Amino acid sequence: MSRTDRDGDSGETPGSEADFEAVGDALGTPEQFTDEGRDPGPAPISGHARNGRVAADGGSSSVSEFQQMADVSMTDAERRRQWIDEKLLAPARIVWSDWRARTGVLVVVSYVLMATVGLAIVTEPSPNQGGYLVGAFRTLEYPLGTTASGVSLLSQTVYATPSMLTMIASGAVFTVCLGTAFGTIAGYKGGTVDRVLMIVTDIMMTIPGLPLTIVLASALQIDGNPVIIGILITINAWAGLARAIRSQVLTLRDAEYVEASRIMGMETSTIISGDIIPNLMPYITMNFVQQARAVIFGSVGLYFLGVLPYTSVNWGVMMNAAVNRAGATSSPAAFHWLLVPMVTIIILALGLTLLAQGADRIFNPRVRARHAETVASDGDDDATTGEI
Amino acid sequence: MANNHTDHEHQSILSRRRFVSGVSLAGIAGLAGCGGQQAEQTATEASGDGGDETDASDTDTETETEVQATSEAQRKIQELAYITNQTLPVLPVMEKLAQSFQSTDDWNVPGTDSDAVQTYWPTEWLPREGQWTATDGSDDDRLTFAQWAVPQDSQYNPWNGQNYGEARRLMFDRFMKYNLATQEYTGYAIQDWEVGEETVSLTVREGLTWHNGDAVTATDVANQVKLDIYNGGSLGNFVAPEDVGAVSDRVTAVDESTVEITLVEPASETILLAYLQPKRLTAHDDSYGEFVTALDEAADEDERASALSDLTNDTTPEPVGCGPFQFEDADSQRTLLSKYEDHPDADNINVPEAEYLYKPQNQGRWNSLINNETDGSATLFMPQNRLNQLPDSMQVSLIPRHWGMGLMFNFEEAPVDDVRVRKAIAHVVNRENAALNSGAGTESKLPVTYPSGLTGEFNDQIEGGWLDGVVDEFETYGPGESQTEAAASLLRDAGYEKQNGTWQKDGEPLELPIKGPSGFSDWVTGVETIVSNLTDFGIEAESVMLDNSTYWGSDYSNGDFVVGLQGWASYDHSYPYFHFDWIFNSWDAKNAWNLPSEFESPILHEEERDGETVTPVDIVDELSTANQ
Repeated sequence: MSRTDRDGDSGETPGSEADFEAVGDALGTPEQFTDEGRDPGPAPISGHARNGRVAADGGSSSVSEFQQMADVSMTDAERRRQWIDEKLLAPARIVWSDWRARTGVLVVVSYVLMATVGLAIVTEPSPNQGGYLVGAFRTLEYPLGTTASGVSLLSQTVYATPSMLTMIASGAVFTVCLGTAFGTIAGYKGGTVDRVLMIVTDIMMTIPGLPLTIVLASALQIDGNPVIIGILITINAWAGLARAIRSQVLTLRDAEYVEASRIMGMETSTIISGDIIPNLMPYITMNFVQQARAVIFGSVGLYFLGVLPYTSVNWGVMMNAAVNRAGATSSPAAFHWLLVPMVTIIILALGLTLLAQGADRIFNPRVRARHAETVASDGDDDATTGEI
Repeated sequence: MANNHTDHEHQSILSRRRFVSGVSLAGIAGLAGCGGQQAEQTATEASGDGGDETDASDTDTETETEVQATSEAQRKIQELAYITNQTLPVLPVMEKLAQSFQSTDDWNVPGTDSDAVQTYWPTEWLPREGQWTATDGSDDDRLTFAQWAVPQDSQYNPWNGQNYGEARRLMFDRFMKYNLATQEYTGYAIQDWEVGEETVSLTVREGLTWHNGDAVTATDVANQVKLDIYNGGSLGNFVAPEDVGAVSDRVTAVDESTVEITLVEPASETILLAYLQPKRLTAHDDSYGEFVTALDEAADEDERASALSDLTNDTTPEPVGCGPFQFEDADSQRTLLSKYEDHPDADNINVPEAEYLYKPQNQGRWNSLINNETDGSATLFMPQNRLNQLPDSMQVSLIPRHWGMGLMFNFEEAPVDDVRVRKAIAHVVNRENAALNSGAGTESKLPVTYPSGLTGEFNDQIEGGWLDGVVDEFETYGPGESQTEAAASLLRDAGYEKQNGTWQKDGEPLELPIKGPSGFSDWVTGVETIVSNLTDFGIEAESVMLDNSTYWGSDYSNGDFVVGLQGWASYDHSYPYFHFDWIFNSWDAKNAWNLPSEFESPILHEEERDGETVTPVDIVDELSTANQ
């Protein structure tokens, strides 16, 4: 597969082949403005060019960058459209153009559907729904079979999804938020703040996570709340992320644009959120997805071992039940009981992994630019955008 | 029986239970493997007070004839059962039968319907009686069983409680034998006994020797009884309830072979024998004499406590036993025993060795039985799909445990402090389904027909025995159905209204969290069924399953639950006294369930009651001495 095919941009994006003379035309294609019923201006300038630059390397422009003024101002609707195009449609196109990301998204979306729509379609699990230990794919009524107490495995699997997703999301959000906050502040502020935060981080890192989780799970009154369990499982996973982000921030904090913001007297929070974090987003997103996967494995493992409290079914508990109640590992009659939750977990983990790989591309500005219809592409992008 | 002492006793039960939970925490892997039945087994062992009393005990199970002859005791039993039935301090859900396995491949064993199998436990008694022997031409010269603890970490001080090795079953002899089917006691290490007005005398078996050659004497037996009492054993309630310091005067060896125990008041022989029978003779004077002396001579509580802690911290990895097999060695995988030729029953045994393999998980034990790696198992839960995999040569017998899962209500928590809510729950729960699911296709769990604190679902013992003549007065609460109408009218009476499919009171939904130990997997299955019944009815029930050690060590023992899971009867005892003692008078009842001392209940027998208000503990105490 050629690079161009894979990126899927050729021919899709008007103006991708255009030279600089064509930039204005490309951006000003009539469709974009027909809603507003306005005539396209002579030299429309995209949002990216608001501050006077036509394109990233607009050196060949006849007007000096400092002199050029916007000939056309954009309406709110245009801005909205542009924002949607840049922020949503372009990433969506990137995702769609990459089979890994596409698969990942499909998997995650189908699990989300399972956790929402699925609850309405599938009947609630209850004992004695069907016969005991009906095998998988034997009956239409219980497509995935039943447990030793006649509970449909399909129902159990579907009804376990909402709490699993909540747990996964809470664990991943917790890690990423805490890791990013510690990492960026420590890296950017330096000095005492850095030292204090890093001491905390290092302490967290040295505590073995699994035993800590187990002890906290029994010491705290959590009664199986999935949000809290998600956080417990990743209780100290943020420390590693914080360390890594700090190192990245150290390289960014002296970048020119950061320095410029500092000189302009912008607040630290503005600089961190506006100048530093966007640069780290790919890394952070990758970590978000990785953490999500870690939460699944961690929670399922601990549920399987029976050390986490639970109030409703979940995949780990299902596996635990299959092994402890029916000896599924060496009983053909009960093997499906173990296999169903296991496959469910494997598919979700696979989906998240593929998504993480695809997510990398979403944050690559060049790739994104090529997929945004409102952004002119660089003339030399063929030369500079290599494998990612 | 004095209550202050009972407290102490049950504290000791609790501490041991906590302790056992702690042990399971020691290995996550162990926890992981905690199948319900394993854990249940652990809990059973854990509750043995005085070392071993309730573990595998036996009791008098008096049936029709004897019960009718002893009307006073029966009346009290019926009254207590009625109070339990009408006030539901606990809701008995199911009763358990233990599955016991014996291999017929290379071994001669009695059939599953034979009376000989009806003992706690067949693996222990059958070899001693010559009923479990190698067949002619068998190439198996070793009886192979399984044990939970790591063999080389196992020890044989019963008062320590930690890692009490399974091999004790063949290395030490019990005081007596109890046959569940015939309900008869037979002498064993104690060959003869006599229960008088205020004395009990025990005669040691002739020719019984310790594995080092010493003869077993009355001193050893007295040591055993005394140490059990010092450690909080129930017998203490009859011997020295007020003053433990008096034990040394009341339990004495009168000659080489006779021990005399003096009681503070006349007690029921049934109960005394039930406490004496399961004791395993361990207190060899050479090994434990110093502890006995220290405890006997302790001047005050502090000294006694420190002497007791010396005893409970002592470990005996290589014991001197008195059973038909003696200790050889233990490594990380097995405990090896060899036949002790001088044992009086040595002639009944035709294998030179016995071994216990380290099988810490149910799955491993199931596989061992399926692969013929082990020759049998005393008690082990095995679901139907695994039973189907057993070779034809492995026979499975069912042995009553007189015990099972129940719902315990916390009387300090709404809404279950209201008897109407408890009754509504009882009506809604389909106990047959719960038992069926809990049994995983086997017939090892029986639903409780009359929630009354009486055991014996496997025969006619309740309806035709204990409750003979009054059974119509008892409410069944619908064992095989959800009696939603009866439940609804009770709830409406209690001020609840059903709105949008949920029972509510003052806008608050009727919530019912049920806490339980997640390792007891058969209980978890039962609770799933119960929760599903309650939810269908409109009660917002949910099961909260906690790690075993968290549940037993913290939530349950601290009374931090609304509805909790626990065995509703006293393990392995069939005489109702023990169950009512557990339900109304135990440490758990007072501290975990916060049971009030007084109940309002309709009257069954006028003779036993002054009015609707009753103190069940008093009737339990009276029952302990009731004339039989």
